[in-house]
Amino acid sequence: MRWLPKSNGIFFLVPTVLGTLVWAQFRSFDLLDAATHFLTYQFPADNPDTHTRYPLVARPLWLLCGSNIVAFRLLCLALISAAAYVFWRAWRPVFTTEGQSPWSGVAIWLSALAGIAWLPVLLGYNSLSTLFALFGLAALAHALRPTPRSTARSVARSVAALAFLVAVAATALVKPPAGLALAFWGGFLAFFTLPLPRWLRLATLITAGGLVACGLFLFVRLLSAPNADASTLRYFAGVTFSPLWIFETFARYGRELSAFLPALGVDLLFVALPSLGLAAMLLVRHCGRAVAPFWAPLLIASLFLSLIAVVIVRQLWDGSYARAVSGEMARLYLVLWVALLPAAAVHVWKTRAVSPWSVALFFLPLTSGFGSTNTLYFSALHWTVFWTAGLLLLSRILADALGDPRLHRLYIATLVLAGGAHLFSGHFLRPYMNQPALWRQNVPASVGHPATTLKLDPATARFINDVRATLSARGYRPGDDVFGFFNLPGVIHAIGAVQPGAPWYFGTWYGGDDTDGGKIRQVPLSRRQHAWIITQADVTGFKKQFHDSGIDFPDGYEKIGQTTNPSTGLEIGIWKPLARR
Amino acid sequence: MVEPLPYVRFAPRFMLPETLASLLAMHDAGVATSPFVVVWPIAIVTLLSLVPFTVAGFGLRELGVAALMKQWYGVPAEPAVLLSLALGTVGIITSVGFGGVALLIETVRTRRGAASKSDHAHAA
Repeated sequence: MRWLPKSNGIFFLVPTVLGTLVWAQFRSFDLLDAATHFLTYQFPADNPDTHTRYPLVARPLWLLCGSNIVAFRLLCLALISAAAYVFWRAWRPVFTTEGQSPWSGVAIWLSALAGIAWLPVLLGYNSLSTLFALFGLAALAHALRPTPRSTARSVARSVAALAFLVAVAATALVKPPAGLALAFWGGFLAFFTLPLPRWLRLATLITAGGLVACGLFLFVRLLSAPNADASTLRYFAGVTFSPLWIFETFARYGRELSAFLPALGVDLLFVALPSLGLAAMLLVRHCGRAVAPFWAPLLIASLFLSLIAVVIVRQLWDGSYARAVSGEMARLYLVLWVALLPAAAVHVWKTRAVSPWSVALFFLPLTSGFGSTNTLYFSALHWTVFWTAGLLLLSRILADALGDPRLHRLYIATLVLAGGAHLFSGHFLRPYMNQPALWRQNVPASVGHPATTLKLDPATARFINDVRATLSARGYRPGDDVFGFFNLPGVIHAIGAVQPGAPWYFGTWYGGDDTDGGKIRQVPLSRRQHAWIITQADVTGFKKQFHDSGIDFPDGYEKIGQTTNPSTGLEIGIWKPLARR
Repeated sequence: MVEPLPYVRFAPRFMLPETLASLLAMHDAGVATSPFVVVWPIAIVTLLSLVPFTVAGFGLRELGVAALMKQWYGVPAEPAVLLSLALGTVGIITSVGFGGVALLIETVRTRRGAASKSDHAHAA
């Protein structure tokens, strides 16, 4: 029974968190992203342009759950919890060789859950990449563990290394930049952890550098080819590479950082004094001088108080979607990292010892979303579990160097509180896309076909029921084609319809872009002409674009009802094609 | 424990091939400006990219070269980014292909020397 926690607090906390999470999965329904995923799993032929190949993994699991949203959510949470546990068990020997507090495992678990639960809970490309990365790094930690040589150990190590490579491939399948980041930092860890002779290190570096140079050479040649068709590289994640795209991406990152860093700078002012004090104390210890015994507890206590102050005053505890976008959620982890940086710099300077795991675990989340349209710090929030692991490791190293384990305990406590606060605020208090708190979502509504009964806020439940009742009264049956123009994947999925051509029409015509039209025209003409239409706001101004796409809207349609979308406040029109009479 | 590799010792020997390769890269990227006038932005950005802010200076170099070349010589972003990427490739080839191999040879020689000294000592 060694796997059982030895703390009464954990015995109480873990079942409580699990129970409330199960309670939560019967509530809320995101009308945009979550519905898009469900439509993709349910009707893959009507989503030819997915960002990645993640439905290949997620769809079988969705079908295995009987297309039931609650079962799918619970499966997602169970898999992430299992992966976090496996990661913690495998990674723990890297972390320490002696009695390790099980609370560090709780910190890992909570941050893994918080990393997926500020978004709709489901197996999408972000949560699947978290899952594979956790299993992959667990395998890598096992493969890199220094143990006496034996045949059995060599076989186990080879199997673990192979498992890591499989995890990298799986991560790359569901989220290509995350797969690349995992491969890079996994290689980095292997390079700096394995006891290789110097010549082999150099040979490995030369080989890796040669491969990178060859890849870059081919990339530049393709981009600079005079033939216009070959001058852009399309890859399967849907991004068009071009020199201009590269420039604009880096320029965007520059702008985002220049907006983000001043706010982080203000946060750091709170912890600057105790952080520098700890570094000074470590320097004095390294110089062989005695430090008065009251300094260590004083500095650690003031660091803890300043962390609490910055978290409350600057609202870094809030892990909701809005705070993820504006950066508070990421800033909490970055403050925790930077607070240790001066002491870490002194430690590296004096001992010449760098912890490769700390370096890799810091950069892994930041590099996992390169190329995404989201900010770097937003993308990193999917993998905060690795920041937590890195912080646990670094605080342990510095606590050992300081000769005071309380620094490490302080970080464990802070990370447990941070993970708990982010999970509570992002999942319960302010669910994704500014939905009401979960305890205010009490009205049962049927969502999807086959239907899942979810408890929603009264306005959303009434809205979904109204749309379904209006359509059903005029002959609509679940499984019929319905276009949602625009931004209505949630309504389409909730009423059990199929949206021809794409799960989400974004309204690109508003910006003069015909991407939506291209998707509509791929649908067979008879489906286009017989599909019901639900409109949001007045879209009759796009009459020409509808006609060009083979849809005689609004002339060939009868308006059979209207209501209001509670999440946008816009008028919803429900239209029946005259061809269905 | 991670020791920094002493690339710096080998750098001067490879300045000439790197410069020549950079000129070829410029031609390849379609930058229609005299090679002498782009020396300054490239030099400034190369110095800036020595700050370990991104891996091997990628990103910072592309942004810097494109911004400076547009500001000073009106070169559009596309060929400037291509030039920067080509320079990054040249940098990797020279440091890994030349510097790395030279270091490897030196390491192997030192190892053999130490091994033969040990053999002589045993024989004596």
